[in-house]
Amino acid sequence: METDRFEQITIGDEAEIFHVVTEKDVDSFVKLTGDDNPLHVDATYAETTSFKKPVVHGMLTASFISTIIGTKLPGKGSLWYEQSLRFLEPVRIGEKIRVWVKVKHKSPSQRILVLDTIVSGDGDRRVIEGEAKVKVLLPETKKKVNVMTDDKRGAVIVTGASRGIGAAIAIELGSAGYPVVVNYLNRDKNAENIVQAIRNKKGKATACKADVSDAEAVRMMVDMALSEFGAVSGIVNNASASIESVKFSDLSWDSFQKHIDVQIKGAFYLSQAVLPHLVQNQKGIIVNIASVVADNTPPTKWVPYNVVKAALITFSRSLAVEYGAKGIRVNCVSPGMTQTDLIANIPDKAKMLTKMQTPLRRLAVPEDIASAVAFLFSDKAAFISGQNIRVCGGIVMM
Amino acid sequence: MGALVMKQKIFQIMSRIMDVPVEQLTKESSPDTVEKWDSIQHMSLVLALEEEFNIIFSDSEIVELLSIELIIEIVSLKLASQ
Repeated sequence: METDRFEQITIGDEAEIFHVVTEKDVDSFVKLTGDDNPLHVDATYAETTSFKKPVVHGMLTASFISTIIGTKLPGKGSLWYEQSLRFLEPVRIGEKIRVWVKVKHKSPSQRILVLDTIVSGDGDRRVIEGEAKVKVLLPETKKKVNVMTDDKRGAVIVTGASRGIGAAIAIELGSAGYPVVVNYLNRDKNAENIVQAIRNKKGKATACKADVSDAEAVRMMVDMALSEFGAVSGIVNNASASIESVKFSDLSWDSFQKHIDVQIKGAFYLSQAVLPHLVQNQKGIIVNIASVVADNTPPTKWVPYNVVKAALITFSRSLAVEYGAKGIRVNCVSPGMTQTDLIANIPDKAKMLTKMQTPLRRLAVPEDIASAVAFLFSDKAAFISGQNIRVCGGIVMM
Repeated sequence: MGALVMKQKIFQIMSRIMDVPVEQLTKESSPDTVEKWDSIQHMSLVLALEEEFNIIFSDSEIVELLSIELIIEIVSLKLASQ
């Protein structure tokens, strides 16, 4: 990594360069600037003056201050923005000059140096003196991309992956080259089918039965992912309790708590269990599956679901802020109404209405959501964090 | 009234109001696909449906009649609740 030159410079640092001024230098200077004053270029004329011999242009000599600032002190990346000059004595062709600078002040906040600048000629006589002000530009940091090549990809734990959106995400990430831990709670057979589907596409996967609201079970699941695949690249908090349409007056705290347990406590435990490994690797990806219900007028009688999805979005943003500097990206994907078992109890009329109110005129399918998650797990999303990507056909626009 | 008869009547009403041959209509037909289905024709459609099935749509139901599929669903629910 390139070191910061400014950090290394201290008050009192010095540098010097030497140069013998030739007739060719003077000719070049005349050609460049058009200053053909006979005092500099015509020996006969100079003879008639008190100098008796041609005098090298003062600015030609002073230009070597630029050389020392740009190449020695501070060197590369210097912006020389102010200079005072006093021309004390003439310099003649053939004279060897010494250009010397010394740091007299350093302003770290502005990254500015003040330098004494002195040019001496033959016999160590001082010919020019002055003061330079130089800003040292900050080296531009290169785009930091935590690229995960296939052979470095650790596992992704997808919760609630035995069916619906979770299953589609597991299959999509498996196809993208991530080993997948297919988490589930009840549907052993479904989970095995998803694992098999991933393996059939030459991916790696294993099923893991675990209640995400149980801290110990979650810790064991992370340990299993590490022992099976060597590393963990990220997680997808997708598990959700079933939606029940209940009037608030009839809603029990237990029903409310169930949603909090699965979605918030689950995301909490899994994130907390996996983050130390992600931090150690200085990279990691967390995707939380939220919902557009948190964006707009929420559906009636879905209070627990609406509340936990809104909470999950803020949870994601909070982690994105806290862990961004450690190379970890945290985002949400918010589906619109998606054709899964979760909406089996929603009246057909509501589904049809949603479809017709959606600019793209259909409901989402699990693969739509999986594609967005796979994008967030790709290097193309390397600079996306703290965002909520809505996959809803445009029914919510923000 | 049977479901099949009700659907046939809705297709016939749609065909008449929107001036589209009934064989060109499908369950998915909507203002996106039926050129004449604008806000004026929509009101004519609502009146025709109310007269045919002897029902009254609420304001919220009127804006929900967004496709033939939805019209069938909403009319079915209203007839069932009578």
